[in-house]
Amino acid sequence: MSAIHPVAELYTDHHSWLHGWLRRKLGCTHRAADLAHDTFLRVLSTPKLDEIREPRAWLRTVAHGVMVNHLRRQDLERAYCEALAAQPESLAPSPEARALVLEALLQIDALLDGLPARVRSAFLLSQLEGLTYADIAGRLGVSLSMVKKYMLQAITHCMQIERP
Amino acid sequence: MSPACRTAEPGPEILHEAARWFVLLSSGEASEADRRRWQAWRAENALHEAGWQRAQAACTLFSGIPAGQTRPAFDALERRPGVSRGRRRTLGGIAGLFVAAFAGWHGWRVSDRSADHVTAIGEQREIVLADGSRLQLDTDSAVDIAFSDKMRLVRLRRGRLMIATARQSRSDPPPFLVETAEGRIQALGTQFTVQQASGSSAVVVLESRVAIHVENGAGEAPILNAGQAARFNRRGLLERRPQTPADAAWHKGMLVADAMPLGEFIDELARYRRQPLHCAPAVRQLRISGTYPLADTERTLAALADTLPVRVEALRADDPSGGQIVVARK
Repeated sequence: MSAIHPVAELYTDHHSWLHGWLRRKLGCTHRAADLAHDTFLRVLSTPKLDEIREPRAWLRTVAHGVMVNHLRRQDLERAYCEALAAQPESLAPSPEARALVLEALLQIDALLDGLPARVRSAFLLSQLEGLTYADIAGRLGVSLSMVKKYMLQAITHCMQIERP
Repeated sequence: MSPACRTAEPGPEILHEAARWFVLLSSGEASEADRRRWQAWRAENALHEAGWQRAQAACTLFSGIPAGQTRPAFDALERRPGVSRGRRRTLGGIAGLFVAAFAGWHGWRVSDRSADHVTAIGEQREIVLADGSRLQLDTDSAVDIAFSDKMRLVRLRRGRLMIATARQSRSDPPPFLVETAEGRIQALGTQFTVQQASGSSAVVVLESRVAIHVENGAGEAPILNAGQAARFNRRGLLERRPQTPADAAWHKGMLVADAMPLGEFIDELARYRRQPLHCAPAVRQLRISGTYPLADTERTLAALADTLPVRVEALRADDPSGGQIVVARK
């Protein structure tokens, strides 16, 4: 059996350094601890860890990605709050429901990542708002056949089908 | 042919066909005839149905948005198009420095002498199987290996394992199956974990897909895709959910908690310790988050008292067996 797991070794050697690095970037020790934790969550899903030559430089890159995502999450959260504020108060969801929706939004956002804006809009109008293609065509100002093309592109992307 | 051999993966052509059906059925203008043709296509071939399931699975995220919330959800997503991949979870992090080295213990259970491979409490071990596939055994686990021309069978008697199947040179290799008390899990790709719990089995798919053939199941075997986890008993699936980082951290020697009830956390730690570990009912519902190396449960326990209103104490400290440790309210 392996005497030591690469992740556990990285953790032992570099966790407190990483926490310090994030704290200097964010100016908040609690948030730095959260993001250091998230960085290690990513590390856990990295194959071939033992091939990494410069662990600190590499950890810094991973942590930077985590930080950028964190800011994007804040963005999406703010956009969702603003959208909720524009709604009648009677429709306001409970804090639990909001948290669940936000989590789903983040995942949808990640799933659709890389799609052109119009393809993304068409897919969301169809799957989220339940619009027919004729309505979507009207909303986006494109032809019906274009909507079908967008939809096919989006679902192919979401199903992660390899290009033949 | 045994039922286990029926399932295979749909190729890109079938997936594209499934995608075209999806586009037609989402249009709001599909006719009754269209629907009948779609049903016939699905029924024609198990691969077609599997392809269709893939299309549906791609959209399950949308069911997380309740009907009254679609408008603000749409607005929020549309306000910031083209953002990048990556999920973040809100976690209260608890950090500490832990020394991580797995001691190989030799507390073999007498009753497991007959099993092909056994790990002691606190031990994890990797085994390379005859076909080149890798099997990783978690703490306190036992398996039998039975490979033949008909199938490559791994019988999980107890505990938890991870399988990473190796690419086979022959074009039609015998199916790779993991058997538990509740059924068989068939590898349709590469990497997954299986846990034998009491009365149920849990599966997490890390790469590709698996098919679950439950002991007394009827009909098509459910397919689990990468990133999904499920629990099943002898009659069928009990739960299907997205995979979380916590599900597969163990095979890298870590325990990941994301607002996990303290009781569950302690139960999980206890699986890696020979000394009994007990959590008082009054604190079982406290929540804990963080990433912890499994090798040094002592340090993890010591850190608990710093972050939660609990005390950790040995009940019979003079007991030569090490005594029982309890976690209780401060």
